Amino acid sequence: MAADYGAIATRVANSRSILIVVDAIDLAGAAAVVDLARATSAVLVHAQPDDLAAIQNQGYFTTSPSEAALRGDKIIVLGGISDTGASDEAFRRLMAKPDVTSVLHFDTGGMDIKSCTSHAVHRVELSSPELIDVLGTLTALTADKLATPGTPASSTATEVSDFFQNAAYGIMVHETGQLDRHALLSAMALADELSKTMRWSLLPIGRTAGQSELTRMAQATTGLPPPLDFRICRGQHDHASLNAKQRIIDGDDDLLIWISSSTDPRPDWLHGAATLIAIDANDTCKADHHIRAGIAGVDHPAIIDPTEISGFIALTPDLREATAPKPPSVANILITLTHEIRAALPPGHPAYAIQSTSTSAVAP
Amino acid sequence: MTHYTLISGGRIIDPDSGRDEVGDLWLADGRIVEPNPEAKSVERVDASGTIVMAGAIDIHTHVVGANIAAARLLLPECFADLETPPDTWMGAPFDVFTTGALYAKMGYTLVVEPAVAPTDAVATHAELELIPYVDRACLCVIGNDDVFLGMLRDKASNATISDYVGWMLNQSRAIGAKTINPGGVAALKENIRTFELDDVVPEYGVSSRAISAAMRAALSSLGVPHPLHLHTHNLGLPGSLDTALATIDSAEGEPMHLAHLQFYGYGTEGSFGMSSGAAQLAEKLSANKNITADVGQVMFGPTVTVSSDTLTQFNGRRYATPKKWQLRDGDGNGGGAVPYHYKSKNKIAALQWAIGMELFLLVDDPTQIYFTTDHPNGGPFTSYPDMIAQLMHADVRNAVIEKLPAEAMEVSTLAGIKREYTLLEIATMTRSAPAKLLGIADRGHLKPGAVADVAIYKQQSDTAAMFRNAAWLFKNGQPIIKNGALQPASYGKTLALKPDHDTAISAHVRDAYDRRWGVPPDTFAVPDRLLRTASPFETVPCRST
Repeated sequence: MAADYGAIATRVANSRSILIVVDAIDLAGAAAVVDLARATSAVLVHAQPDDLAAIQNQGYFTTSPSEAALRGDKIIVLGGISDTGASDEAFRRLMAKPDVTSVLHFDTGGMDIKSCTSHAVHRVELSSPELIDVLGTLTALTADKLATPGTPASSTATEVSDFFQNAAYGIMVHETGQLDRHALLSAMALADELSKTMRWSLLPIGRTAGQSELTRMAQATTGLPPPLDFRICRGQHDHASLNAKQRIIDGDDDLLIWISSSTDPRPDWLHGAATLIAIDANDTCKADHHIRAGIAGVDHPAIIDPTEISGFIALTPDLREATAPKPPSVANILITLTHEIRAALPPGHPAYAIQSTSTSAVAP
Repeated sequence: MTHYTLISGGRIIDPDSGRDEVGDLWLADGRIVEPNPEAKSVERVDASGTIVMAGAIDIHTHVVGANIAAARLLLPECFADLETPPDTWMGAPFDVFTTGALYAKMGYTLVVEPAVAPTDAVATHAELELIPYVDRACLCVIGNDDVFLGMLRDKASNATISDYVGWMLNQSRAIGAKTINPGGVAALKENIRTFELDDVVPEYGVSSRAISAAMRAALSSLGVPHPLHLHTHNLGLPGSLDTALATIDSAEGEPMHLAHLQFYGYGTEGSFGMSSGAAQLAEKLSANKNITADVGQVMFGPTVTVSSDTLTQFNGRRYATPKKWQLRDGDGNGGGAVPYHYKSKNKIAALQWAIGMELFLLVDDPTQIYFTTDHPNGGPFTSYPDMIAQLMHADVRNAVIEKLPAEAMEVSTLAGIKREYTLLEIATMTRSAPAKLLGIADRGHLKPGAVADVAIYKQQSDTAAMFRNAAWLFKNGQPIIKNGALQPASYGKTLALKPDHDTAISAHVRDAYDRRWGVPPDTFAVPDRLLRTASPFETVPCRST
């Protein structure tokens, strides 16, 4: 293992442009990732960054899974729901709630959610562009503004408008990554308009593990949410140009570091990278270098967001019996690796200067 | 051999010892000590021509936590660094390093994050411990959560409620408790848009008055030094003066701290339906010595408002500048971020600034009124040096007044106030009184035995410039600013209470936690060891009760 660290550190130190892609991760791991990215002047992204852009564009009123489960009475499901979304604890609890009075699903493709609930589901099949039109028309109708009559969107909006009325605590559920950005912005606008007289809020479900932790820690230590570009001195946030998949297609980076503390398989698109270093809890190597990490909350105690939505971040215990040596945490791997990389960097490299002013000055 | 630091020849300003004189200060082993002319190992710091004060303390500054995280997410364009002039900042979303460095440069050594939701305490402390240079502390938000409201509804005993509050403070590693718009935040979830002192939360049948009274009683019985830190109703609304006056009466003589009082100093007179109520508030405070308040001064410029008062944030979202905001219903309290621009040409913003100044200047006792902008809600904490200059010099204040809309000044008495703060009063308000309010006996003063947190400022005619850049800052006796230069990051402690309580209370709330989150109550407890520091916490003792 020690030899691997040295070889990886040398490889990283000799790279021209480094892309770090993070998936599931705990808070300590996220802090260590930010330090690694800073020390190596890397681009840092989460594997599923899309919905953050909509929030940054407009912002919106959201609710937590527990509040939704406690108070929700009308449910509008926006867009497709995947198997992952359907198995999300927040979604299952909401759909099983006995006092829900109505469920409407604007289905843009995905599974049939009737199997998730004992309530009757009014299902409207439509495309993503049609959903945007319908949501916009509903917003106009709610605001008593003139909507173009006779259009398909107008017909659909009229047909379903009752579902939005008299809600005590209406919930618009959407699965992260399933809604077109403009559909999400339209939903935010509709919820805001409805909330002038009622209570409606959005509930994102099925968020990819680790996104909250990475965002939180990157923001705390840099002021900025991912995606982040550390090729300039203190980091730069840029949603438009820091797309991991596109960077791989374009060959922007000569080294990709994949980091995850879950056993989920790596996405196929990673393998388009020129050189792949994988640090994850996956047993498969299939990378130029691989370091096996422990699973957060199983192999070591971890601070994670179990719901991935509400800012409910909790300490989870170490659950695996200590009968054999456990793989190290992502945080410990990255702290060790960052030290090795600093040692491998030539004197005068910007990482030395950065170290003196960043949180990296804290002893691990 | 003990190593000493001798700060010699500075003008020492220390309200606790009554010192306002040129003299020496001896430090050793991280503490202020008696003079020792026989000492063999002495490092001398020539402080002639300087002002020497204890490290400053900010009792109410939103520097970390879910709401600041929301602000950072919403406003990446606000990113700033140490080289950027303060007036170009939107203020709020400083990263933790910048936060610590900027506070240190102004001579601060302790900052208190005033609104930590218990379910977010773990992540919040993980951020807090990364703030360099200064000590940290936080207040835990209690009062709108279902368990607490359910206890009041079910007429739980005072002892049970105290145990719950004590348990929450322990879990959250807090130095005190805050209640935010008591009942109002819970009521918004029932689509109620206004909430007053005697309104009742649906489902629970309890009023705001009852919530605050129960919190005060619990904190008193636990011996928590800091009284209930209350963010009351109707923040920012014309007529909120009545709410504030009624809230002070509702304390019935018991200790209570009112947060960001300026935002409640609004009467309804004048040409635009808003007027200063600062004089009434000042008179009320003078007659009620049990009440303390921080001001929440408005300073002109762009900022972002962050608050767990979802009712106020929800109603205020229409004023978002730029036009984006983020709100969330949370467990107990939610929160949100709404960017805002206080423009000096805007008569409302101008009046808000004037009301804050009036409060500072009309309250005679500087141990009753505290120095805050409610960072970042009234403006960034980096504007403190300008506030000090405005309080110490009527001409500086008047230069601001001259540029403000006349309509705003017509409904304020500020222009007629001649008072100028002294350095001793500034030291009281920013050092001595905050330490006492938090129950920290060994900070906020320069008497032997105190922690050696010492700020040294070069005397100059520009008061704001003087307080903007400390020449020296000692933290625990170590120089973290040397001759104006910030030294490599070092890390302080997070101060927290450990109030005695019956730990069986966690079993009592187990069902509620399981029902709501499906996890045991200690899931949210903050561990001794956080991300990086071996022992980040220092215990502040409770009073014996």
